[in-house]
Amino acid sequence: MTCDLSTDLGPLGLANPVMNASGTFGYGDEWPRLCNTAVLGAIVTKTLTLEPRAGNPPPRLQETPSGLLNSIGLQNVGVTAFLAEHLSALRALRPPVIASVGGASAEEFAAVVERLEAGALEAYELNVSCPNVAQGGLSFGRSPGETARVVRGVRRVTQRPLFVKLTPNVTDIVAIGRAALDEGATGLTAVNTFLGMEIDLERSRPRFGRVGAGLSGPAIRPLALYRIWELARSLDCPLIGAGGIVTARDAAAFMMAGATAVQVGTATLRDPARPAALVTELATFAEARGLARIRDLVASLEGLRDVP
Amino acid sequence: MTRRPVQGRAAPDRAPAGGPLGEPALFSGGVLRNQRVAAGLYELLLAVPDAGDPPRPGQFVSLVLESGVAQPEFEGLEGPLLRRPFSVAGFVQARGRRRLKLLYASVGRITRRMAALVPGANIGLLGPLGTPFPLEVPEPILLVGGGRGIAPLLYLGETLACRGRAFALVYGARRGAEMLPAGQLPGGSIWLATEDGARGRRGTVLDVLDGLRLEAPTVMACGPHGMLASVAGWSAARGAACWVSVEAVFGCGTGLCGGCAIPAAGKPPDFLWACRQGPVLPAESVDWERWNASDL
Ligand SMILES: Cc1cc2nc3c(=O)[nH]c(=O)nc-3n(C[C@H](O)[C@H](O)[C@H](O)COP(=O)(O)OP(=O)(O)OC[C@H]3O[C@@H](n4cnc5c(N)ncnc54)[C@H](O)[C@@H]3O)c2cc1C
Ligand SMILES: Cc1cc2nc3c(=O)[nH]c(=O)nc-3n(C[C@H](O)[C@H](O)[C@H](O)COP(=O)(O)O)c2cc1C
Ligand code: FES
Repeated sequence: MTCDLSTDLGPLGLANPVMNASGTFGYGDEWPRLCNTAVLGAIVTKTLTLEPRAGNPPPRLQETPSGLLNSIGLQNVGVTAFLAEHLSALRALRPPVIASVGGASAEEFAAVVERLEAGALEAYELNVSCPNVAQGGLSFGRSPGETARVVRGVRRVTQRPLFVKLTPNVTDIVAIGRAALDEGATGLTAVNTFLGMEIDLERSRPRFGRVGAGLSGPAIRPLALYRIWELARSLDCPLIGAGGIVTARDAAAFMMAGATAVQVGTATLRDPARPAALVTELATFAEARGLARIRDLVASLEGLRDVP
Repeated sequence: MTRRPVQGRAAPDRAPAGGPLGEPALFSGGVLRNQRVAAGLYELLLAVPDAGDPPRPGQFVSLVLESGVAQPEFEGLEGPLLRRPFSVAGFVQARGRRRLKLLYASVGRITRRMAALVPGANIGLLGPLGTPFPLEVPEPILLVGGGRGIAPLLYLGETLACRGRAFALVYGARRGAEMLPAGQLPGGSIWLATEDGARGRRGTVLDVLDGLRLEAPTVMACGPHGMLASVAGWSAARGAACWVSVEAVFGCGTGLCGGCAIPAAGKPPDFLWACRQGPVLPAESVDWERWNASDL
């Protein structure tokens, strides 16, 4: 039996639930053959800001046990160069394009989306959760009020599906998610990276210039899975799971906990073809279990919505 | 150490093509030989599939010790998550067989495990990646290598020799024991420098360069970035065009993550991505002062 991999994120239909995570796949148009990008359920761009950004001074990376700390700082070419240099190549690939949007103010978020409205793309993912920038990033994503303000501003300029990417670095992730949905967000992506740090013992100082950096990779998978479960228990909206996903078993666990789709981030650095390979592996996984439709896996965890 | 006829040193059938760089590929490499060639320095000879673009001198491959192309299940506790980049130190293609040579210093978790690889083992490779050294440049070409930075210059020197190009080599290391044997170095004009004075001149490659009576319009260097900065300055002062192969800690090695930023000249705070815009860069495109002042 073949498994129907198609799924829906609200109004956005996907051929399968697998996409790349923002920031670990370039703009999405790099290496279409090596990555076999055309088979993905959707392609998510690097977070785009109004102007180009240089990002943080090196060092920007530190490997940790089964994980990676990064302090990239949203280096990107800016929305104008993205539209001119990347979108048509992305468009030539089949999958829907989700533009990841960032900004230092609610106004910048809206301005970026306004510029992107002219482009042929399907949806937005608002990155209110980057731990590596002084303004915007976490300071928005940690406050229900600020998150609401960003979403409200963006909703005024677009009818397209809108996903808000949440930070796990909060006491109550559900409150932030609810604030986003109340302002018209279509769904939520969870999670962005966990704040962590490393100390350079030889020099007796922090490894990263901003001290804190974002932890990702298999090390965070159980933490991220728990956030999806928390969101799914309380909110009724499409969820996109991210955090340490490498294999079909990982993806299936996120889907059972309530994710409709999944993103592969850090694993792509090790194997750029990993997201595409996951599409096939997910089908194999589902077929081995006699699953006719992958969407039947979503939120199938027994007792998901029961109060403990 | 005696000099043996090594496949990795034979003349390539087909010199690496010019023209646009192709897309890299994932493939596996079979270990044919893995041996210590100097203190802490090893040579790994791999059988690789006869497909895809051959690497050009200056390009690198990125490896995981787990064999095969697909790595469906990353076992976190068994090894580092990220690939490790290594310059192509030699490449031959003959009668439908390809051999890839890497020269590596055993400095950490992966490179220590690499030293234990035995013939018959398989490792996972991704490449060829990054920018190559330009070959159509004025001669003679002065190659300058420091420590493990000699690796890409071996393949570069071999390629230049095959094409009958004039070049000379300046090679330095901290200790003589850490140096490749003379018989494994490319070309006929070779100057050595060691900080312990065991081989060649006591001092650094810069000391050799300062005493050098050779007009070289082109310089190509690989080594620690402090050395590259000095070589860049030395070249600029003599009006020589200088190309450097830089190192940074890589996340992906493929231009997907932005982890490998090094300071770009001219317009601070801009950065170059060492893996995609490099590793071979015109020396003047790098902001050496900002780099030397940084933590890397
Ligand atoms: C383009 C490129 C080409 C390279 N070519 C060669 C080559 O031909 N031969 C060779 O021996 N090495 C080469 N290197 C360096 C090599 O990639 C590192 O030595 C290797 O990744 C270390 O891995 P490890 O797991 O053994 O060390 P780890 O356990 O990860 O680290 C050990 C120590 O090395 C440092 N380190 C780790 N990675 C790097 C790096 N990329 N640059 C500088 N320091 C690092 C760490 O900070 C730590 O102090 C190259 C690097 C680049 C970027
Ligand atoms: C190097 C790197 C860069 C990232 N850049 C972005 C970014 O620009 N925008 C964003 O929303 N998330 C960014 N992230 C977070 C990832 O999209 C993802 O949410 C997180 O890494 C968890 O998933 P993973 O464990 O599969 O990597 C980045 C992560 C890494 C490792
Ligand atoms: S290492 Fe990822 S972009 Fe260079």
